[in-house]
Amino acid sequence: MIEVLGVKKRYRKKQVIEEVSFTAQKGEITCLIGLNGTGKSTILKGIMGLTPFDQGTVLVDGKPIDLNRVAFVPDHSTFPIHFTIEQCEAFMRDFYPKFDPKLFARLVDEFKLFPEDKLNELSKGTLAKVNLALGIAQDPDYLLLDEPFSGIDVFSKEQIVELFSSDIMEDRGVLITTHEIEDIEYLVDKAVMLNRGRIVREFDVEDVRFIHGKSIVDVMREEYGA
Amino acid sequence: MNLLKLLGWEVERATKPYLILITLLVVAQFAWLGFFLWSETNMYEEIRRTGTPDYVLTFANYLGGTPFILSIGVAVAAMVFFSFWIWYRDFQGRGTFMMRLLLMPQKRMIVFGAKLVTMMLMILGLFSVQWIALKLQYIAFSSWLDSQMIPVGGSFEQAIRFDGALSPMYPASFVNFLIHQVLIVLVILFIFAFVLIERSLWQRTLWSPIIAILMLGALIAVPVTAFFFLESRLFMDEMMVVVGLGLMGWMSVTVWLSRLYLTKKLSV
Repeated sequence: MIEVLGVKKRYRKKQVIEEVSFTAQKGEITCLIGLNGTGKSTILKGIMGLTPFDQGTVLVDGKPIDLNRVAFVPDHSTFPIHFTIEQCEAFMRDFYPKFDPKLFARLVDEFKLFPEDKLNELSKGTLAKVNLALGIAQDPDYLLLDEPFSGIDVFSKEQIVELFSSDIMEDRGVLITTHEIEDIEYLVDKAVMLNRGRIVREFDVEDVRFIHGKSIVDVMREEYGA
Repeated sequence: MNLLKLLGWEVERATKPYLILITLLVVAQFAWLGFFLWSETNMYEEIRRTGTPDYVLTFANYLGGTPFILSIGVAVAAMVFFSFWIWYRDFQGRGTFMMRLLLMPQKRMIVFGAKLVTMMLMILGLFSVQWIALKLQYIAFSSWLDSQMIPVGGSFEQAIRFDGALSPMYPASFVNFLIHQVLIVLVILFIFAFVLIERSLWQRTLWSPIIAILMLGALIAVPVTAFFFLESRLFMDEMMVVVGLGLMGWMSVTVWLSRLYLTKKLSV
């Protein structure tokens, strides 16, 4: 379980995150929901130590984060744009001890990627698939995804959504931020709603659906008054 | 092992601009040598036609020329620039490679180590190329003037010894070589510490470069000021020990600061 406990973050005069606490279980998909600028990406980056929190703790299965067990997939490539997919894989093999070339090859095959393609020649959707393949091939227990559907076409979106329900993602904990909640609503186990750096609601999606007959989008309408 | 692998990646990424720099440096120097010899030969011939030249050319005349000094200056500036760029290029654009480096399940200091060793390899490589190029330039210089029966004064070693800019490349002893290398490493460490402090603060304050400069300025100024007060009370041997301790202190603090910011505060 990922435990985010009382984290805070300030940029200049703005308190971006105000004492946020939540958990994300292994084997479940937890979705961080919020309007733009509510601090979703900052929380993911903070968990990974890319933008350190000012205050608070992050524990993974009761211990400080181990980057061998948690992978982060940002909404953009983290490799120089002139790199080919092959070069990205070579880098990952060299420095990520758990990187699984067979799993990567399988994902490359499923996503119909071409290893010799350069990153700067790829569409946004294909780049998102490359990012995801590089993240999953780290074989992490927990996968943090920042806006994996942002600006990508419907077919790429479908391929990625299919992956979430495949055996590849089985037993992994997923913490995801997305605006396109309706695309993965039926896959999400838990939702954590943020507004102005605070958690305004945290709920079990199935409970809300069966007990109250509401979708995540309905709850968002209630909370954000949209 | 991981440090070596990352060093390999860093060196590979630096190879292209580095080779361009070396090529430009060598071509510029040989072009200047050609022009220098051509103009000096003409001048000598001119004087010989009207009388007897009363001066001899030395290799130091060539080394003292503005184009040569400029080529060395450009190489030094390029190395200083690259000490910044080796970090800043990884923060460029939205798809920042620094994020990938920081996400590696390795100690973050291997990133620091790989960049530091890359810089030192580049600098030592530049010294080596310059050393060979200068020897070749001397051979070309003396053989051309001999062929034109123009007297050459002084030796290669004499010319080098009197040139302050070249002294780090041609140290008088092994101890001198080590001292020069320590000073070069120290400059790089200060630059690295600056970048890491600045990059850790950039999202919090627009003043991040100024704060970084002030922090490092204080780190430089405090021991230097203390040294000026102590200087007159110390014997030579004691002064050497104090200077040595000061250099080691600077190195330790810059590495400590860099480690602190790289592992705990750096923000991408």
